[in-house]
Amino acid sequence: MTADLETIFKQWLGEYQGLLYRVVRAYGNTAEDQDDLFQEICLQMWLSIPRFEGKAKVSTWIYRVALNTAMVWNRSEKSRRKHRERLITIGPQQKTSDSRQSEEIIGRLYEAIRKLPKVDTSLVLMYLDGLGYDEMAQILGISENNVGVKLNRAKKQLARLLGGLIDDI
Amino acid sequence: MTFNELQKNYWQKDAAAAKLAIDSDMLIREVRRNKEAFESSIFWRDFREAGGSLVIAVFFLYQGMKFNLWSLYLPALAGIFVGVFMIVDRVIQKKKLPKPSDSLAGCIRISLAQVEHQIWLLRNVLWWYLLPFAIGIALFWGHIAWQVRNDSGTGLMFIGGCFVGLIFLYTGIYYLNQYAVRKGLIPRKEELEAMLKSITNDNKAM
Repeated sequence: MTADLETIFKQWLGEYQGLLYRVVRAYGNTAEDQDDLFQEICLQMWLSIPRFEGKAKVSTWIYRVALNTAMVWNRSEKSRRKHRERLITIGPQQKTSDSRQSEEIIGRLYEAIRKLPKVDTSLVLMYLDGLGYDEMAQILGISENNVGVKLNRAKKQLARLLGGLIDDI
Repeated sequence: MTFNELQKNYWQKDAAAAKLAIDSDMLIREVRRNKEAFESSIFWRDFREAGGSLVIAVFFLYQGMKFNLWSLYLPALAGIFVGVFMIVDRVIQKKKLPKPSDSLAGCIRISLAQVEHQIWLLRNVLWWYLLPFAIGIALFWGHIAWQVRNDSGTGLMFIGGCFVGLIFLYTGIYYLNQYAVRKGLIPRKEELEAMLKSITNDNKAM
């Protein structure tokens, strides 16, 4: 079981590391916060593997674990990190998207997302990742109509925070 | 730029292109260490809280048998009551922990219920923790005081001093617990309530 657990964990991590990174970057203000949150999500993901019955899509499951952890994560609680170096990094040489403008926009977008209320952050993240209303409703535990209303409001607030970058609101 | 353009041309392109550097072996070692640290911290917290009371109970039971003094059994009973109360409470609360299959709203609701329970425990620490011990110890001292009532006043003064010390100690413990509620738990409760409100209200006005 231990070997299986490790294999599944590595497989999930390999496939969904981008999703995890986007969640920690959206919820963590500093590199240290992001690393702490990343470790907390990884721990919860590890603990959740034996409970995964395959009824939901893996991506939905991981989204749920990651967002549930990020939402109730308490920065003031004792850090789990023992390593000084970061466990998750995105090196400049590894970026294929080398446009400075693109980097700047993504940076501004994360900055704005971090200023949103936590629930709106989760909605915006799922929206930007292209999840459907049904999946968002399942993850959040609210109706699809409610998702629509809340997402609309969150997008308006995000557009305001982006200061003129978005013009379709 | 529209939201669709932002989503397609920037966010999703960046998400697809970003290659992250994660040392998965080191991460697994960290996750295992975190899991062990987490389980060990839970075990020691439970041991400290419930085990401490049971150790006190065993100590007074032993002393009661050794000196054949019935009043020593009273603090032992208080220790057993507090220890069992804590163990039962932990067992019940463990069953209520959020599961990964819970929705976000469900997870927040469970976390909120846990914080509210913690607040309830600390606010009522007088009734389930301090008072049983205080009554047990006070009756024991009362019994001793009754036995030495005809001796010199030194024994009575000593017991009186201990009693005053106990009151100061318990007042300190009580206010420390209320401080923890005000400083740590109430802000956390408010944060979770706000999150729950923002996730569950229908916003029909929009």
